[in-house]
Amino acid sequence: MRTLTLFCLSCLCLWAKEGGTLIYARGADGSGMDPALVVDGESYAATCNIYETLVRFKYGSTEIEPALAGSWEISKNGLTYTFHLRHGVYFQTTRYWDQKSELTAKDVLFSFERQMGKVPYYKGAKSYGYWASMGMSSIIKKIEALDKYTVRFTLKHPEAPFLADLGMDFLSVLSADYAAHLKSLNKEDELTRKPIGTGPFKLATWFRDDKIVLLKNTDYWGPKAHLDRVVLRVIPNPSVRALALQRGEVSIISAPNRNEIPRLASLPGVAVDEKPGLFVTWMSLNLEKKPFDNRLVRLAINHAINTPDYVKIVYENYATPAINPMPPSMWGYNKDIKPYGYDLKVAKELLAKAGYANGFETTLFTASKYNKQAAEFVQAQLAKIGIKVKIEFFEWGTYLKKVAMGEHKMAFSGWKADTPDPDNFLYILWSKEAAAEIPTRNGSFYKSDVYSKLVTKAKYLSNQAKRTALYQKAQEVFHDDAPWVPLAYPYSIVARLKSVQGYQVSGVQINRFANVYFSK
Amino acid sequence: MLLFLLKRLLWTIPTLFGVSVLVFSMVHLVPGDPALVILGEHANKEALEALREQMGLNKPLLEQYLSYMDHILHGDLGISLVSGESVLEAFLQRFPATLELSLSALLIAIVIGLATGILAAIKRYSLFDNLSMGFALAGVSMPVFWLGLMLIYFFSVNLGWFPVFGRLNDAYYLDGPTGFYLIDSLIAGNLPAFWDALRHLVLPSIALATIPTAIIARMTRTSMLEVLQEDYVRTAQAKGCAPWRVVLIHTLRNALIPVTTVVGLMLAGLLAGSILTETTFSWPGVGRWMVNALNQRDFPIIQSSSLIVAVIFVGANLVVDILYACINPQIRLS
Repeated sequence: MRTLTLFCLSCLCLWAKEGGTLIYARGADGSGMDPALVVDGESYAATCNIYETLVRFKYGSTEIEPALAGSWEISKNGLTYTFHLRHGVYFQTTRYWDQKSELTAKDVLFSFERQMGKVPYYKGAKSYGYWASMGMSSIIKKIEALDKYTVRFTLKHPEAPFLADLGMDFLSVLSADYAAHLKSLNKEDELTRKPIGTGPFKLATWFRDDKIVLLKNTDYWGPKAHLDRVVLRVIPNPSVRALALQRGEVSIISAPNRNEIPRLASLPGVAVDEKPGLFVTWMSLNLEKKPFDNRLVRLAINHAINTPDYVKIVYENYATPAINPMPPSMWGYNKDIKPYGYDLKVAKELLAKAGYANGFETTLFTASKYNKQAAEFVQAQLAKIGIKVKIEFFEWGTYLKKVAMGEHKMAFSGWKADTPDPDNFLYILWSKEAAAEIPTRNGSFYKSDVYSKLVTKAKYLSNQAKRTALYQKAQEVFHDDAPWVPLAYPYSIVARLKSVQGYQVSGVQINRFANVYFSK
Repeated sequence: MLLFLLKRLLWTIPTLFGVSVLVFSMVHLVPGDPALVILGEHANKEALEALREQMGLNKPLLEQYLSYMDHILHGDLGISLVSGESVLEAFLQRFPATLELSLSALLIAIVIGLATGILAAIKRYSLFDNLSMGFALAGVSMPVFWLGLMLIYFFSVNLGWFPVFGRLNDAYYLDGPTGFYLIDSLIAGNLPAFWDALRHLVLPSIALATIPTAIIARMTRTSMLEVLQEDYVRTAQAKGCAPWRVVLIHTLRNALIPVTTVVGLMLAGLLAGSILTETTFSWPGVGRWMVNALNQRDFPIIQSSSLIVAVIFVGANLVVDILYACINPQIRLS
């Protein structure tokens, strides 16, 4: 009898996790649903539930796990990657596509080759922006189908982050048959509005700027989603998002106003999750402009800015002070490096040693819609060691351009990980190669040979332990050279109804809803 | 009358041409590289160049303008750079939402504004007059987004009378022919959906109606007071007409002429200016779409939607002028 009761209870518990509609409120709608075309995170919030990639990041972490490819082999020289696709994975059927087709190598080929430019798909010239910005054409040499379920990539050079790259949304696998069907109707553009993927949810409706309704894919190959429906609602005003959550009209809200968080957290049915995301913010010091070419000046500035205070004032403590050019949750992070430390005496001494005992005048670029408070904080802090900072505000577009062209002396910068690989921070932001590109991502124009050699070598190795050692060394060199002022590792913050369980805020692709359920 | 009409119509051509040049130049005068804004900090040279090429930004300005006008004149308003949607289709998709909201707001403004204005004029210098005109002044001065938030806070969150955001609850699905949820739900015979759509409409309509209500109330009052001084009103009163007849027949009809003009233009203004209300109440209309486009530097949407708004304004002006000329022949002659 007891066993039966336990069995019934466990059935009830299992049953309790199933069903329900989750309403996720966010500030803006996505721009499209062809993962290869879009470059904004809001679009991927829908597509990462509909489409899948060959490998994926374990939910809430940066670890790579099998997805559409059940297994893979990497050749010893790191040049060929052979993926074995899972059998019995079918593309979704919806009201606009009712053919049940199995995922095979030809779908993978189509998905990659159109971005490589080998299979022209859209009528008009469309730019595969993410593919280009990740430099994929300079990594992949060719892709071939060895048989129905085996795909081989041959690279132009060894590229350790390649496996992580394959987990990114823009490399999602689309149905070649569906795409061909749309092409035959001369309606290729519908691919951006009516997606067909293999994921745990499929598209039901999309009312632009209003809502996207996703339905559970009951034919999903893996563990099926708990929720019946997910509605992605657009509520542009963060205060209204908070009020909607308070009323229980939505289940989760993204990016609440920081000053509203304590009130939200105090509401009985609401929980606030805050965790460091894969995000770093800093101040770039342009090494090509005087006096920032002088390491002592850069060190002085680092000692003169109180980063714990910065985090308290600018982020209202929803961040931790930054130390290294990548966040602590990323593998390869060097824990032994200590922050420069706030010390005005040391800062003044360093400045005097550099020949600027009376300080100097300089400018700080910032965007008018962000960072006003941050800029004023930096201005006040540096004034204490005699550095007079003139703040120059720019409209966002102008700001991006001016910094990317290197017109600044000091400027605020930030970077959110595309892929959970240290290369995504250490190489593409701070290498010599990044500094040589105009427009650049290396806002400090840091061109250390020693540093670049380390991060370039790490890029070509496939052994993670060896890569870790190289990245840790690179972080030491970087810390020593101080081409920047590390500021913060901001938190990812979401507020949710307490009944919403299983939602992870850290890691990449945080908007995957397959593991989310309601506790009754 | 025909000559007046023709002249008035011809005048719209240089106006629209001017608007097209202005809209085109304004977009290009906005600083920053749209390709860089679209692709963000993650952009590299190759991606930027590809996007600039796709957007036609590498071509000379004049060439870009001529090509733009050529497309416009052929009924092609362009394709959104960000979403790949046809601008015209996207506009038409969102327009019913804005129109439904604007018409509701206008209805509220006319009913409340007129009633308040008339009563205030009749009971001049009374407590009602002072209070209502005080409210009208406050209504004109109040920021819409603040008022919207207050309405949500009191009537949705605290009292629970109305939903916080959106046009329709997720439980309902309407895909009717008009795009007006009130009408589509009735066509579908779905009364719960009608009720839900109506509840969603109340607060944003009130927020959007506040300024027009205040304007109409003040204008009606002033206009009524002026007409009440006229000889023919005094004559009517002396003849022993019933007070309601003096007000509604003799005074209001004449007092409404300037108010009608303002109301005509007001609808155009509401259509174009519901941006803050739409953003506050998450109303998926044209206003929000335009703001998004501006943030994303989506050139074709910014240009075409501004042009559409200009056409609506010019069209409304034209209709008002013609109506006015019909009502008052002196206008035609002058």
